[in-house]
Amino acid sequence: MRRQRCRRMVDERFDVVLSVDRTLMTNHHGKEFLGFLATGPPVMVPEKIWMAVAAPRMRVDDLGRPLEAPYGLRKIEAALLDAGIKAAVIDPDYLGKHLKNAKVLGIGHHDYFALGPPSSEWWVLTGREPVNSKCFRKFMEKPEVRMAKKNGLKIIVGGPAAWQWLWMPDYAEKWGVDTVVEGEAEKIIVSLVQDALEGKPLPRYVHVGIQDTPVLNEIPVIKNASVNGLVEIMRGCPRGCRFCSVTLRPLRQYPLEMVEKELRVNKACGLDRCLLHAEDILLYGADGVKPRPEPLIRLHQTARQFFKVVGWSHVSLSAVKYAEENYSLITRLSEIILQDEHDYIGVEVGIETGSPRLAEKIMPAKAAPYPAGSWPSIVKDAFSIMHESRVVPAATIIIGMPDEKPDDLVKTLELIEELKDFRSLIIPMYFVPMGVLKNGEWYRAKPNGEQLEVMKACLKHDLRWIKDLSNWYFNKTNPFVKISLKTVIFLVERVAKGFRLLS
Amino acid sequence: MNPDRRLHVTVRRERFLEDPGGLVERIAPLLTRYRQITIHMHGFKQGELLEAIRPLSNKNVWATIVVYDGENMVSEAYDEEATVP
Repeated sequence: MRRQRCRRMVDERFDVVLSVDRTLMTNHHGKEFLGFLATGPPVMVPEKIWMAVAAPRMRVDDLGRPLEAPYGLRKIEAALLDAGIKAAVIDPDYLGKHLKNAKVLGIGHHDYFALGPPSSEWWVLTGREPVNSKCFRKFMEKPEVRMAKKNGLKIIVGGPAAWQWLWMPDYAEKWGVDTVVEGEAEKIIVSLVQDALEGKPLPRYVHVGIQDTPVLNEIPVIKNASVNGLVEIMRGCPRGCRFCSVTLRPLRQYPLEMVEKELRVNKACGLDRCLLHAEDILLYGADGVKPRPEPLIRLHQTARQFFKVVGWSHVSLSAVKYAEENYSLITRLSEIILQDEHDYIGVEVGIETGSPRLAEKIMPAKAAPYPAGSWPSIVKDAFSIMHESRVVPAATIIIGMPDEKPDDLVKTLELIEELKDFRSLIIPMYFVPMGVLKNGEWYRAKPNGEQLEVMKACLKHDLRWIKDLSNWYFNKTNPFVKISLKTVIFLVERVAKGFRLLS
Repeated sequence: MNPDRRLHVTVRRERFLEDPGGLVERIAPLLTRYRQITIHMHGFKQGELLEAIRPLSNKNVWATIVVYDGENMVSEAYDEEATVP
């Protein structure tokens, strides 16, 4: 009887298979930051080792369904299941048996062709293709995908990098992509998939407009675990930075009960951690751009009820300053989250520039409620607060912005110098203007002298802190990852010394 | 934007080639006036179609835009019809 039940399970068929290549279908050994390695080419180690460190295989069930999967795919899976459609996220190594029966393959990706940051920057600097786009190409060219396509499989692609198909239209043609969906798809995906299942014609392209963007009660609760227990607490961002697409989306805040439901799903699936995700965690329940203590404390206490390890995705530096200076809130939240005095919490933040002129021009509301002209001092204050509270920022700096002048880069260099005593990583992101992509020569857009100086200053800053941080970050990681990464850090340090980057 | 209005646009390749910028130029002012714009592009290969609509993705578009290739006609009722360029 039991064997029969197992057989039935293993034979289960899905009309819709959702998947993506290995660089995203992974939990990065439980360390999201390792995911950055999957956006670059292998550095000083063979590609196999690089991939094993950055994107290890996921644990799967008898059907090849991964224990954890990217949150975006989980949301689409939930929307389809809620509509009664037989759908499942399947690991890329187990596509074969499912694509024989499936009618639709749905793919979501952060960076299909390595055109987004930081992949494009790696590509520009090294002249070598990052592993994410290589892996995606291999995924699309898998014999089982090609065979299923020949037999009538419909392929629908989406996710944050959907725009890239408009710049790489030949690949859409070559691989037989039927529909590109740009925007939040939870609301429109059901009718699109139903059309595909009924054999109706599919559109080549859908841009999801404001009225088809899901409102809160149209966003489904995930049914299965997300990578590293990621749960969204808000969507959208009110700050309106000119280089960011998230800002075009309406702001929606999940009620605490909805967050709790997703925490429960991850807990029930056996996960031991959660990662709270928003463009700015500190704006949960905020009064505009001013953080409020009550909703944030309740959110963190709720998360801690379920998980010992609670992480943050992003915070804004102005919110860090405001929250601490008005309510000592960073201190209070870190006390809730941190397990002991040796622990840290990592978070992504955006510095973007050290130039008040550029800050006023491209991100006038990023400093709010403070004036944009005081941006460098906001950054310094926020870094100081986080250092004291054992919060470790992984900060981005954007170089190559339109209208960037040498003096802007000098101001950024000065700011990086002033941050040297604060425990942090600073990552330069090379802005690749899409106009340059058009002629196919974007990889020749090498950084100029001042931009290189900023990159070197970031490397110097990072090498100063990385040893200290790696002892903490890789504390409970498997020895293979620890040794591989320490070797890479050692080699990078030697090369940097060789080029006199480090004094 | 009128929340209920839907526009249907027909684009023919031969006329598009005479004025490649015409499509987005003509559609851009409409993007704020309709909830949904369905575009049927006749005679385009898939790659050409995606390339032709690329400039739309750089605009701040509030409407839902659905683009079919011309062979795939769907019969739906629209509030208005247009042919561009």
